[in-house]
Amino acid sequence: MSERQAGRRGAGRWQRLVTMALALCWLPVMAMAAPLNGTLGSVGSDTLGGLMTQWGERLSARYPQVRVQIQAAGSGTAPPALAAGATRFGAMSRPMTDAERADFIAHQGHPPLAVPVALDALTLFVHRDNPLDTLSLPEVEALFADTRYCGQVPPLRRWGALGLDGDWAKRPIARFGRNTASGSHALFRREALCGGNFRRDVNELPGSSAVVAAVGRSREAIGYAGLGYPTAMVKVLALRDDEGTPRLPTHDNVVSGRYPLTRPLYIYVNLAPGERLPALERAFFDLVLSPEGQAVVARQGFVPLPKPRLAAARRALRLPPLVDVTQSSSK
Amino acid sequence: MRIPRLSGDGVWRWLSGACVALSLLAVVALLALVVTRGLAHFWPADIEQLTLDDGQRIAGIPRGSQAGERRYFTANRDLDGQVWRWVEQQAIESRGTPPDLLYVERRDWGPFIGRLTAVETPAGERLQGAEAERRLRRALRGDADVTTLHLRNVEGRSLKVAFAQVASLSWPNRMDIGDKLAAWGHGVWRFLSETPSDGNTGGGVWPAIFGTLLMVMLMSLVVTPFGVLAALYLNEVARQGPLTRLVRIAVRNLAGVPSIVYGVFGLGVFVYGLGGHLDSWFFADRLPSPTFGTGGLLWASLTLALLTLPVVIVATEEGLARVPVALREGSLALGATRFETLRRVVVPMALPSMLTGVILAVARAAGEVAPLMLVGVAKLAPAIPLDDEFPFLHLESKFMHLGYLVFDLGFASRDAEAAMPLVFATATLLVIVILVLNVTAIILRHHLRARHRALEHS
Amino acid sequence: MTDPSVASHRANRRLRQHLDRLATGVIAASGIAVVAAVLAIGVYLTLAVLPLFDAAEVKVEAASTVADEGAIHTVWLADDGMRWLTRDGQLRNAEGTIARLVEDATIAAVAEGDDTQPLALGLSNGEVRLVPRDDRGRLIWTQAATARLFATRGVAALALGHTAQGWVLAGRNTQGDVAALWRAGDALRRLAVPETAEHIAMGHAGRLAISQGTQLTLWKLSPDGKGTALARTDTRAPVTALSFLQGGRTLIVGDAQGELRRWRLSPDDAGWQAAETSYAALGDTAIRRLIALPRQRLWLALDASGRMGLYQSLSGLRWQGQAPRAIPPPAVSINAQGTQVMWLGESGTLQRLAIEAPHAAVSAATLLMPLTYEGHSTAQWRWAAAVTGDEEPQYSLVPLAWGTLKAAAWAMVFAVPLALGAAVHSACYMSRRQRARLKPAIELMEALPGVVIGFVAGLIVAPFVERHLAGTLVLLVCVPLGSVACGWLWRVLSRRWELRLPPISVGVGLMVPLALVCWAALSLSPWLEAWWFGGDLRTWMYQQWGWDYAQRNALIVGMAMGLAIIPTLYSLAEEALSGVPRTLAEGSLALGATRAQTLWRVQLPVAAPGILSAVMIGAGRAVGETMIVLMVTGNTPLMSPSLFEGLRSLAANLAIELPEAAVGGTHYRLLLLGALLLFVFTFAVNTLAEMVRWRLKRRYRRYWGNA
Repeated sequence: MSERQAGRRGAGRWQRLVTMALALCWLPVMAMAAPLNGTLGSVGSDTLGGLMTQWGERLSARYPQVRVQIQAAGSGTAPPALAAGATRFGAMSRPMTDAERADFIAHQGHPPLAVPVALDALTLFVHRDNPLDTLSLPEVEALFADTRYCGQVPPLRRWGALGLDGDWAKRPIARFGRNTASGSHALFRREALCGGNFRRDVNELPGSSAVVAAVGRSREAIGYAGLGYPTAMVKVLALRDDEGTPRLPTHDNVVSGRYPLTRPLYIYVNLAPGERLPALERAFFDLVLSPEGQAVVARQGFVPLPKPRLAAARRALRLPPLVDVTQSSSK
Repeated sequence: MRIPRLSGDGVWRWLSGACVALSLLAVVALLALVVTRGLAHFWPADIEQLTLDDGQRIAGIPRGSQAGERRYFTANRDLDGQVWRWVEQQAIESRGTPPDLLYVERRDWGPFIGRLTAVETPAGERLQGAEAERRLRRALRGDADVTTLHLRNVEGRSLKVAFAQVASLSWPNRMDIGDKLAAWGHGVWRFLSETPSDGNTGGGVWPAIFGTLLMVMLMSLVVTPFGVLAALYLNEVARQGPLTRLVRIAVRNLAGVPSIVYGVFGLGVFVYGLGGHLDSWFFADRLPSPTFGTGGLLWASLTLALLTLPVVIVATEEGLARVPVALREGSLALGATRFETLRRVVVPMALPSMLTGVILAVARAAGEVAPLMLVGVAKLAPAIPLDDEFPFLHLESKFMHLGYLVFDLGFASRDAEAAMPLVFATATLLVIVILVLNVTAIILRHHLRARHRALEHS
Repeated sequence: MTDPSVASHRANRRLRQHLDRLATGVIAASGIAVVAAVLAIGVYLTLAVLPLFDAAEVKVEAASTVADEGAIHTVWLADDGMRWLTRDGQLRNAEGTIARLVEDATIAAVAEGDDTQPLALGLSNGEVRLVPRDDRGRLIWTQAATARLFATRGVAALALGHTAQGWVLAGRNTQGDVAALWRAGDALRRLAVPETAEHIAMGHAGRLAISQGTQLTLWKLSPDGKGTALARTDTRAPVTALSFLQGGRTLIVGDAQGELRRWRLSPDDAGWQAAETSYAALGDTAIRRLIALPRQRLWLALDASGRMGLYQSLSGLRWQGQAPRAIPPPAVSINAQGTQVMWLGESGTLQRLAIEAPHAAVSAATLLMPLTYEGHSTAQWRWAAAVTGDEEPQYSLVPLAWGTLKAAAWAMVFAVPLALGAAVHSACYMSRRQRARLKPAIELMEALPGVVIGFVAGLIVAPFVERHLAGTLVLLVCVPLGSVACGWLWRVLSRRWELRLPPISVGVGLMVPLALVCWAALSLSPWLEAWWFGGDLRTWMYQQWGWDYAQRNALIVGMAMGLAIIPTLYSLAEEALSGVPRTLAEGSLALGATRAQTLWRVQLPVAAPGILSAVMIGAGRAVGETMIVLMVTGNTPLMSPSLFEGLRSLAANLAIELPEAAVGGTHYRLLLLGALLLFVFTFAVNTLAEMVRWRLKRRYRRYWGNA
C-alpha cells in the first residue's frame, strides 16, 4: 500500500502521460478482446436488410466469436417471429400495428421496445427517360389504388393523364411495388393510399432493389421503395406537399419531415421492462447508435438519426451517452 | 429441275427434331448466359476514360448500351452518389484506356475508379508517383507497409482511403492477358473462399457454399437410412396387397407434392411445434432468445429430408425389384434367414440404386429454395455452423445457401443491377454443384444398369 | 464330439432367428414410421385448416350482480379488475371511488373510441367531459377536460370517429339537435349540423350518418364549419339503429321491421350507394341496438324480442341466439380485442358476452364469391391480406387458384408440344445410341434449379421480351416454319450433292440453323413492328384490342416454367413411347404405312395413356413450382386469362406471406388452406396419372405376351 503510494508520488509527469497513453491505446484492444460470443439473430425488413448486414459485418469483425444471422424478407415477418419467440430482434421499416403489438403482448407478457435506428422516406421513381418530375399525393393514390380515400383523381391508365405528351401520352402505366410482407408496402398503403386498397395490377416484387431494377428496365414503369435503393437507372420524383411545392426526398426534407412520406426505421427488441439488454445485444446497439453505425446509414443512402433522437434512443436502451466529439472509431 | 417436296413423314421428322433442338437450345443458351456472365464477373475489364463534348470526364467500365446511350459502371459511390452513368453516344468526344487508371475494391463504399496520387507509410512518409506505386505493389504482396492511399477520380476530386479498407487493387488497363488471367483466378478464388462483405455485394460466398453442402450432407444422413428402411419395408417385409400398393402409389406421388408445402409443414411442425417445445424444455434459460424455436440448419435438413424421401424410396424400390427372385430364393434355400438374405444378397445388389436415389435426392435438395425460405435460410450468416466451440456443429444456427443467395442478391441487395454479375457467378456455382451431382448419378446408374443386365443374363 | 458343435449351431441359429425377427421388426417399424411421417403432411395441414370453419359462438357468461345498479352507467373490466362509472360521475372499483369526473350533472351518454381517442362522457347539462389517453393508450382520469356541445339541453347520444389529424365527436341532445366537436392538433372546434335526428353514427374522416324516421342522411363534416349533406335517402321502414363498423367506412342500418342492411361509401364520395347487402334477419321485430366490435368488421345486433345475432360485414350472420334477459343497454363496454362485451342489465346483473369468432371473416362466400369490398363500386375477387388489422380483409382464394392454373396452363402450352415432339423424335427417329446420349442431356435440364431459371427469366428475359415483343411472337411462327424449311433445303442440297445425313440426329443438327432463325427473327422484328404495328406492337395491341401488356406476365412464366417441366414430360412420354412394342410399329411399316402414319395411327394411340399421364404429372409440377412464379411474375392477384398480364399463384403466395402471418391467425390458416389445396390437387393428379400408367403397363405386358 505504502509502496504503491510512494511509487505514485514518485512518478513523474512524463511517466503518468505514458501510462495514460498506453491505457488509451489499450482500451479499444481490450474492448476487442472482451469475450463476447453467442448468436445475434434478426428477422425482418428488407429495407433495413442492407443496414443490418453492414452492422452485422462490423459487429462480427469486432467480436469474431459472435455469430450474426440476418433474415430480411420484409417487416411483416418480424412481428410473428418476435411474438413466437423465434427471434429477439425484429427490424421493421414501419411501426408495429395494434394487432401485432397485442399479439406480442399476449405471447410475451410485455410490450416490445421500438428503437429507431435511421430515417427513411418512401421514394417514387420512374424510368430515367420519363419526362415526369413531380406528383401530388392524390395522383399517387390514383396511380396505385382502386379506392379513393385521400383524393378524387380519376383512374390513370396512360401517362398522358399525368400531363405527358408526345409518345408518352398513349403509353400505358406499369406499376411496381413491394409485397405485403414489406413495411414499405404497409406504410405506402397507410400514408399514400390513406388505408385504401392497392390496384390488383400493381406488381408485388419480393425486394426493393428488384422494384428499382424492374422500373429501370421498363420505360412505362413507376415504382416505390425506400430511400437507399434508387440508382441511376431510375429517376426519383418530387412529391408536391399541401402547398403544392415539389419536395425531393433530400436529407433536409426528410429530417424536417417536409417530404410527405418520411418514416423512421426501427429495430424492435423483446425486452421486458426493467430488464437490461444482454451484453451482445448491448454491443450491437452501441454500434448501431454510434457515429460509426450512423455513418453506415448515410453510406447506404438513408438518413442518420438526428442527434437528439439518437441520444433518446441510447437513453431508452440505457447505453452510455455519446461523447460529443466526432471521432472516427474505425480502424 | 424438279423441286423435291418434303413428304409428310419428312415434315414430322423435322418438326419433332426442331422440338429437340429448341429444348436443347434453350438450355444451352441459359447455361451459356449464366456461365459466361458469371465467369466474366471476375475478369478485370479495361476501364475507359471518356471526354464529353461539355468537357466532362468520366471513367468507367462499359456495361451495355441502349438506344444511342452507353451505360458505364463508374463506381465511386461516395463521390458521385451513384455507380452508374448513362452517356449519350454522340456526346462522347474521345475515348481511351489510360494505363494509370486504378480499380480499387474497398470494404466500405464499394469499388473506386481513378488514379493514385500518393501513399502514406507508417513512418509518416508521403510517397508520390512511380515510387508510390512501387511501394503499394510491395504492400499488396505484404513486403511493405502502407497506411493510407491518396486517390483522385478523373474529375480531379481526391479522397483518402485507409489501406485496411482495400480488398483488392489493380491497374486493369496495364495488364496483359497473363496478368488478367492471374487476376481472374485470384478473383475466383476469393469468391470461393471469402465471406461476404459490403452487404453481400462484395467478398465471396464461402459461407453459402459451406451452408449448402452441410445442409445437403445432413439431409442425406437422415434420408438415406430412413428411405432405405422404408423401401425395404415396402418391398421385402410388408405383405404385398392392395394396401401396400396404395401406400406405394402415395409415396411415389409425394414426390410430386410442391416443395413449398413441405416448407409449410416444416415451419408449422418442426420450427413452431418441435422447436418451441425443445426450447421450453432444454433451453429455457436462454429465452426469449430462441435456440431451436427458430428456423435453422437442423429443421431445414429435416424438411428437405422429408421432401426427398420419396425419391430415395422409389429409387431403392426400383433397385430391390430388379434383384432376381432366383437369387433370393437361392439364398433362403441355402438356409439363410430373411435378414441375412437381405443383408448379404439383396441390399448389396440394390446398393447402386440406393446410391443413385441418394444422389438424385441430394441434387434435388441442393436446388430447392422455396421451403428453405420458411425454415431457416438467412440473408447473412457469415460464421459457418461448424467451429471449435462446443458442440462444434451448430444445428440450431441459420445458414446461408447458394440458391437463396441467388434470389436475395437478385431481388433484395442494395443495387440489383450492380449485383447482377455476382448473381450470375453464384448461379454458375450452384449449377455446377448440381450438375456434378447429377452427372455422378447418371454415370452411376449407367454402370449399375450394365452390371444388372449382365447379372440377369448370367 | 458332435454335441458341442450342434449346440453351438443351435444357439447360433436361435441367435440368427432372433436377429432376423429383430431386424424385420426394426425395418417394419421404421418403414411404417417413415410412411406415416410422410403422410402426416396431409393430416397436419387438414388439422391446421379445420379451425377456420369452426362455428362462431357468443357465450353469455358470468352474470354477477352489482349493488345500487340504478346509479351505475357503464362497467369496464380492466386488467386490474372491474370499474364502474356511476351516473353522477364517479369512477369506482371494488375498493371505492377512484376519481370524480363530474360535479354538478349526470352522465347520459358515453362514447369510447380506440386508444388514440379520448373517452367522452355526455352530460345532462349539454357539456361533454373528455378523458384523454397517454401515448400507450391508457386513460388519464385525472386530466379530464370539459367542452360544451349544446347550449341548454342535455346530451342524449355520442359517437366518436377518426380523422386524418385527430378525431370528431358527434352528439345528439334530448331534443334531437345534432352538433359535433372537431379535434385537429390541439384545437377543438364546435360544428353545428342543421338537422334533427333520432340516431347518429360517426364514421371515418367526418362522415356523420343521421336518421330521422325513414330518412337517412350522410353528412360530411369539415373543420371549417361548413358541413355538407352528401346524400339523403328513404328507407323502407323507420330506422331504429345505426352504427359504423371498424374503419368507419361501412354503415349498418337496422330498421323497425328487423332488417339489417349494409350501406357503402362509394369511392368518389358523391354518394352513398343504395343498400346492396341485406343480411339474414333475426326476426321481424325492430332492431334495438347495434354493437360494432373493434376487430374483423364484426357486430352484434339485438332486436326487440330479445334475439341476438353476431354478424360479419362480408360473411353475414355467423351466430344467432337469445340475448341475455335485459333491457337494451344504454351503455356497453367492449375490450380492445373485441372478444368481450359487457353491460349492466336489469336488477344489477352484469352481463358478460364472450365472443368466440376468431375466423368469422372466412366463409364459403368470402373465399369463393366476388364481393363488393369497402371503397369499391363493383364486386371483385380480391386477395389482399390485412396488414394493419384496420383494413377490410380480402380473402378470396379464387384469384390465387386462377393464377396457379393459369401459370400451369401456359407452361403446358409451351412445354407439351416441345416435350412431346422431342419424345416422339427420340423414340421414333433416333438410333438407340443417339437416344442414349440425348436422354441424360435432357434429364440434366431437370436439375436446373428454379431460382436460376426464375432469375434469368425475371430479370433478363422479361425486360428483353418487353422490348422485343414483336420478335418474340414472330419466333413462335418462324421456328416451325424454319425447321421445315431446313428439312426441305436439306433435301434439295442432299439431292444435288448426294450428301448423307451426318451421324448426328436431326434434332441436334437443327440447333445451329434454329439459333440463326431466332437471331434473324429478333433482329428483323423492329422493321416488322414499324411496318405493321405503327412502331410499337404493345400500343397497337392496346388500341386494337384493348390488351394491356405487363412486363411480368404469363408469357414469360409459361416459357420459364415450360423449360422447367419439359424434362419431366419428356422422360415420361419417351418412356411411354419407347415402351410401345416394336412389333406393332414394324408390322405397320411392313404393311406399307409410312413412318408418319405409323406414328400417328399406331404408336401414339397405343402410348396415349402414358403420354396423358406424363402431361398430368407435368401439370402437377407446374402447379406447385414456387420460385419461378415468385421471381418471374409480379404476383398480381388478377383474374384475367390474358397471356400478357400477370398472375399470383398459391405456391408463390405461400412463400411470400407465410413468414409474415401471425401463427394461428386467420391469415395463417388461410395460407395453410392454400397449401392443403396444392397438396390435394397435386396428390390427386399424380394418383390419377399413376393409375393410368399402371394400366398402360398392363396393356404393354399383354402385347408383349401376345407377341
